[in-house]
This record gives sequence, structure tokens and C-alpha cells, in this order.
Amino acid sequence: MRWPRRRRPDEDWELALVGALAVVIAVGLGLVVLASAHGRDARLADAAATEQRLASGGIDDTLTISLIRLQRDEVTLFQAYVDAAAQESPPGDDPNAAVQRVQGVLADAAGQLADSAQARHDLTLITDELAYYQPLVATAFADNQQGLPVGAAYLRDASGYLRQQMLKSADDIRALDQTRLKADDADAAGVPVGLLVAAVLAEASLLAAQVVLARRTHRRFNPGLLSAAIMVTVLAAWSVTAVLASRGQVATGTIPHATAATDLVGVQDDVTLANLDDQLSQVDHGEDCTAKTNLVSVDGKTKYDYSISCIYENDALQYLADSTGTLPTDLAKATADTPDAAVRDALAAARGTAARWLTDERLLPTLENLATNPERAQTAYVRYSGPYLNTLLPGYTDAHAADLLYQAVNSDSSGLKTAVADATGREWSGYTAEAADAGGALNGLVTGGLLLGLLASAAAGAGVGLRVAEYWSAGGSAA
Amino acid sequence: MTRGKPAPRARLVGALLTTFALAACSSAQVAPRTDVAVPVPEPGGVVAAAPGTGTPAPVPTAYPPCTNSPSSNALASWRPPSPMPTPGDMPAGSTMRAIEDRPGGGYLIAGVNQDEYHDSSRVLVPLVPAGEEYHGFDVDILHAVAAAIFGENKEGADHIKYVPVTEDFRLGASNEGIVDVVADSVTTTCDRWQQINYSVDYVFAGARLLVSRAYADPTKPNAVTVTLDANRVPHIRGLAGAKVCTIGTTTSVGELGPLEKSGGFSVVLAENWSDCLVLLQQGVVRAMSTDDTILRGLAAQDPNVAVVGDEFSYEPHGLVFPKSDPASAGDSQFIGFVNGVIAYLESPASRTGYCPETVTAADSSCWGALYRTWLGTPPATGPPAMEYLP
Repeated sequence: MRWPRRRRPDEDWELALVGALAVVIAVGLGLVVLASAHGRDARLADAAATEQRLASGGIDDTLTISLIRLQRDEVTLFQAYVDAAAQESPPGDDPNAAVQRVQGVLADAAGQLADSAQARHDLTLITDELAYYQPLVATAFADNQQGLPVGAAYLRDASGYLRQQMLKSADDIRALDQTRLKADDADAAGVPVGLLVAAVLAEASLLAAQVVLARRTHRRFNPGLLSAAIMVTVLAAWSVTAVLASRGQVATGTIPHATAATDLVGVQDDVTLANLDDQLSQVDHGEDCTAKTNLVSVDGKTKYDYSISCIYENDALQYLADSTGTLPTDLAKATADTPDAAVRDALAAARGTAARWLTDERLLPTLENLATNPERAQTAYVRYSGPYLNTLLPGYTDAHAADLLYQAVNSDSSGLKTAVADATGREWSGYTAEAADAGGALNGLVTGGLLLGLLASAAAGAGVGLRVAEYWSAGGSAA
Repeated sequence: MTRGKPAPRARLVGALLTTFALAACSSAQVAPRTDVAVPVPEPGGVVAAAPGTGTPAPVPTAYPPCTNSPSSNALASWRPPSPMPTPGDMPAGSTMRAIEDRPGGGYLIAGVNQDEYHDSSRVLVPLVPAGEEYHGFDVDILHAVAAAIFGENKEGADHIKYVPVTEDFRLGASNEGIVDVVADSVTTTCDRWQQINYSVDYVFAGARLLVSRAYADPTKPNAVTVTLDANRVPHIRGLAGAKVCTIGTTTSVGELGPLEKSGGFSVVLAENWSDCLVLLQQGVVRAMSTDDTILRGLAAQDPNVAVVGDEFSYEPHGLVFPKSDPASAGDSQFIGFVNGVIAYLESPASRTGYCPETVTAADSSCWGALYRTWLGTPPATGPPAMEYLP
């Protein structure tokens, strides 16, 4: 007869701990699944909300567009007075109406971006800068309507301020949301490390509990722990599969659409700002141009050569220039990034429009184009010959003729804007659909995960508890 | 196992428990950037000029001999034809005939400024007739030239197409042959004869200062003043530590340079005169400087500014023509023709002929009427003397 082995005090503690661990870890796995799924849900929801703000018509887009439209409307109105000599009467629009529109958008933005300290800061900055901008425009119009040339200088001042300060802050807000969307998508597409670790720990703890109990009780079969292990395995497999499916959906679905949409926002900016540059060129009639006089040697003779640089024309060309301009570069990137074949086709057509715009840009009646026009560069005969008089000169001397040339570039930019807006809309629609699929993969995981976790912990607790009770009742010896 | 020693397995399990990290996602929060003051708007393209050198020199009343002009007198230009051609019937083979024969009834192509109120600026009212899109003293000279070619009446005077040129391209526009003539308050200098040809001097000007009326009262201690001493050396006061605006490609920057050190001010360069006026109105600069004929037009746009001080430079203005004109036979007879128009404007006979502005009893000539209309009271010495090549 074997006397019952005296139970060591720490054995009770070990058994209790192992049992508690098995239960807690099973519950913990459920909680981790819950947290992981909830976290992904939250990220996807945040991404969806961010995408709404970034999409065409969203607040980020509206804020930038409203500022550009503010400038464009005011320049259009100003232009009516500058070239009033050729018109019946200038329009009676109130430039303050455009400012009020922007103020309304700023109020909307403040509500939608309340959770971002940086965005709130940027909005405050735009509001403060608007307070400087408005008097400049008011002075420009007041002077202009009194026939005073200094009004044009105030409009230039206001334009520069809006472009260099206010639009920068609006760009910053949009960049914040783009970063946020990227982070949300990256997280949602990330490997669920915590989940995997929790699953492994849960299985390991159940196995450890089984081993310890088996040693103590010499009962290898523990239905409770076995049930718990099966449920943990099912839960782990389900959650990993669902999360990986969601992750895959995000990586191959939403992220490419978001990337392409972000690229297209860049294209839209290029188009809008280049068009605004053209408009400012038209109203400025060369006042934004400076010339440098150089002495060059031509055929052994010293000749004066003039290089002219016009701010708005140069700006526009930075967007439009073939191969180096931001517009063709951004179009190429968007074409490469989009997963949508229809968008790719549309962007290929847009590249053709951009090339046409560049050609039309070189025909605009700017001093820069005048100085580099080959017709003019030949000899002093130029101002007596047909092509210069009939084709080139009218743009500089006649407001109607200039208008026709600017209508060409406006038409090009308008075509591009429509194409880009359509493509952007398709990308965001694609994003939304993919995000819904990614979220769908997680359907039920939260509830199911918690339920399975609780059941597994209950089974583990039952399995451990019964064996421990049996072991203790036997005086601490194996039955 | 000894009593009281913590079981290693307990520590391990405890560690495992504490390593359980529930995924806690939080949206990326960017730390807000440091608050910055809201930037104040300023005209673009404004740069600090290189510090001026030299010391103030006496203001001349005439130019020294020039080697770049057709004669040693930089103000001398081609003699008018005698007699002057009849309007509407320009001599064959002449530039004026080529101008007359341009399609659409012919027109003069003129480079003008759109920024110099009362000298040359855009008309900002609806529906002005073609040829009247600009107005000012310089533009009226062009009207007189056009009238002399096309007919001495308003219709003839409006045969002009205007190309707006900037301060630093006005010589280039002429040199490159883009326009027939430039009328843009261009100071006749010896150096510039290398690039272009000049008419005779059609108006005298001199550099002065435009300041806020707060600095315009010479009896106040903070007044900005320019005075010429007995040797005609200019002295500027009231600008110590302040900035003065001008345009870099004009004679004005050369005139301010030697005065910077003695006056204690620095110069900033803008791209056009209106930008300087904006800087003055915003208080960024305390003064701006250029020819007084231009400053008067700027002052007319703002009752809070005033032209102050003596003239501290010698600024005869000439119309500008391309250096070579293949339509011109021999010497530049077009320039001589225009000089003839200027001579006529300055003569008493112009009181009764066509004048772009209304001649009153107080005007000694059409030139006087133009001056009175746009620039104020004509100088007591009358218009500049005509100086021709020998």
C-alpha cells in the first residue's frame, strides 16, 4: 500500500494558477479577438469617414475648391473692369458673396475636423488669413471701379496671399486626412500579430494545463480542456482567416483605390491652379512680368537679348510642361496606380488634352510668349508682315482677340477637370465598395469571438476545476 | 524545494499574463505645430536692392558729351522733314506709309505702360472706342502722332493699337521691333542709345519722393525732405532706418544708390509702380521714388500721400524707337517725323489745330493743354527746347 503522497503547498498554487491561466487566457483570446475585430472595424470606419472628407465634394475637397473659386470669381469680376473698354457693362456681382461662401465652408470644416488639433489650427489660420485677404480684394475693387491702376496691384497681392498662405493651410488639412487614411488602411491591412500571439498563447496555456493536470491526476483525457482547445482553435482559425481576408481586401482593394484617388486629387489641383494662373495672366496683361537685358554676340556682333519671365505664365508651365510638369507626372502616376481599367483609359485621353493645353498655352498673349515667338524673333520686318499683325499682335492689343485665346486654354482645363472628376469619383466608389467587402469579412467575428472565448473559458474552467476537485478530494494523490 | 521562495513557473506565468496586450488602436495624431503669427500680405517680387555705393553728386542740368548717340548731345534727335507730310498721304517708302498701309485702315503700334496713372494707364470704363483703351500724357503724344499720320481729328488720332509693356521690357519691346514706338516716361540717357533710338525730349522730369502725408509737412520734425544745397548736391532727411521703394531697371535706383548712406535708408525693388504704392500704403516703406511726373499720377490715386522734396535728378523723357527700321529710308525719318509732331505740339500754332485735349485760353500750346490736363501746372519755362542732330 502506498501511503498518499503529502501534497506540497505550492502544488495547490500551481494547479490553481494553471487552471486560472487556462480560463483567463481563453477569455483573453476572446477579448483579443473582440478588440482586434473591433479595432479593425474602427479603423475601417475611420477610413470611410476620412474618405468621405477627401472624396470629390467632401469637406477637404470643398475647402480647397472654395478658396480657388473665391480667387477665380474675384479675378473674373476684376477682369470685367480691366477690359471694360471692350464690354457693355461690368457685372454687378458682389465679391463679398464669394468670401461668405468660404466662411460657410470653414464652419462646416470646423465641425467635421474637430478631432484633429492640427486641422483646427489650420482652419483658424485660414480664417485669420481671410481677414487679411478680404481688405486687399475690397481695395482692389474699390480702386478698379474708380479707374485707378493701383487696384491691379492689390489683386496681385491678394492672389499671391491666397496661393501662398491660405491654400497651403487647406493643402495641409487635406494632407492630414490623406495621411490618416493611409494609416487606417495600413493598420487594417497589417498582420494581426496580437491576435496570432493570443491564439498561440491560448493553445499553449491549455496544453500546459493539460500537461500539469495529467501529471497530477494521471488522467490524460480531459474533456473540458479538450473542448476548450477545440473552441480556441476554431476561434483562432476563424478570426485569423477573417482578419487576413479583410487585410487582403484592404491591401489589394481599398489601398490601390485610395492611392489612385490621392493621385487624382494632385492632378485636380494641377489643373485648377494652372487654370487660375491663366486667368491671372489674362487680367494682369503682363504686369507680373520682368525682363532681363543681356548682351550676346551674334555673328560677331553684339546684340541685346531680353529674357522675360512672367510669374503666372511660369507657374502654369510648371504644371503643364511636357515630361517635367507636375500635371503629366501626376497623370502618369495616377495611371500607374489605378486598378480600374476604365480610369486608365480616361487618363490616357486626359494626357492628350494636357498636351493640347500646353500647345494652347504657348499661344497665349503673354510677354514671355511674345519674346520667344519665332515669328517675332526674326527681324524688324515683323511688325509690317501679315502673320505678326494678323495672328500674333491682336492678342496683345485687342481684349476680344485675347479672350478667344484664353477660351482655348479654359476649354482644355475644363475638359481635364471633368475627366479627372469622373475618374476620382470612380476611384472613391471603388474604395467604398472594397472597404465594405473588407468590413464584411469581419461580420459576426466580434460576437462570435466573444461567445467562443467565453465558452472556451467555461469549458477550460470546468475541465480544470473538476480534475482539481477530484485531485484534492483524493488527498492530493493520483486516483 | 525550500519554503518561501517564489516558484519560477509562477514568475513565468505572471509574465505571460502581463504580456497580454489587447490591441488598442488609436488614430494617428500629429502633434500640432507651434503657433505662428499670421503672415501679412505683401506684393510679390519685392527684393532688397544691393546697398548703394558712391556719394551724392550735384544734380546736373545737362548731360555730358555722349558717344553712344548720333551726336555728342544725348538729347539731340533727327530733324523733322520740311515740310511735314500731309496726314493721310505719307511718302512712299517711309515708315509712316508702312504704318498707314497696314490692313484694316492702318494703325500705329505703340508700347505703353498700364500702371502710370496720368502718364499712361488703362481706361477702366465700359465701351470706349478702339484706340482709346489707354489714356494719359504719354498716350496723348501718341494720339498726336497718329493724327499726324491718319488725319488730324479724333478718328485719325485713334488709329493706335497698344501693347502693354513693363518697365523693364519697354526698351526691349522697341529693340526687338515689336512696336513702332514706346511712350512710357523713358528717361533719355547716353547708355540707352546703345539699345534704342530716341525722339527729342518731350517733357522734363526729375526724381522726387512720394510719402504719406504724415511725413509731408516740412515744418514737422519727422518730415521727409530732399533739398539741394548751393552746389546742387541733394540731401535727404527723414528716412533714417526706413525703406524706399523703386523699380530696379529704371534710372531711379541709380539715383537713390549714392544717397542711401547719407540718408540712412535702404532701397527695395518692386516690379511696378503700383506695387511700390501698395507698399507705401501698407507702411512697409516710408517713401517711393521715381520721376515726379509718375509720382503725381500715383499721388492722384491716394489723397493720403504727397510728392515732396526738390528734384534730385535730371530726367528728360523721350519716345523710344527701334534701332533699325527696314521701312525707313536712310536716317530714321519716322523719328524725325515724330519730332516734327512734338515740335508742332509745343508751338503756339497747335492751339488752333487738332489737340487730343481741349486747349483753353490759359494754354500756350497743345503741349501746355496736355500737361495741364494730366500733370498739373506746366513749368514756367515751358516745354523742353527741341534739340536736333547737326
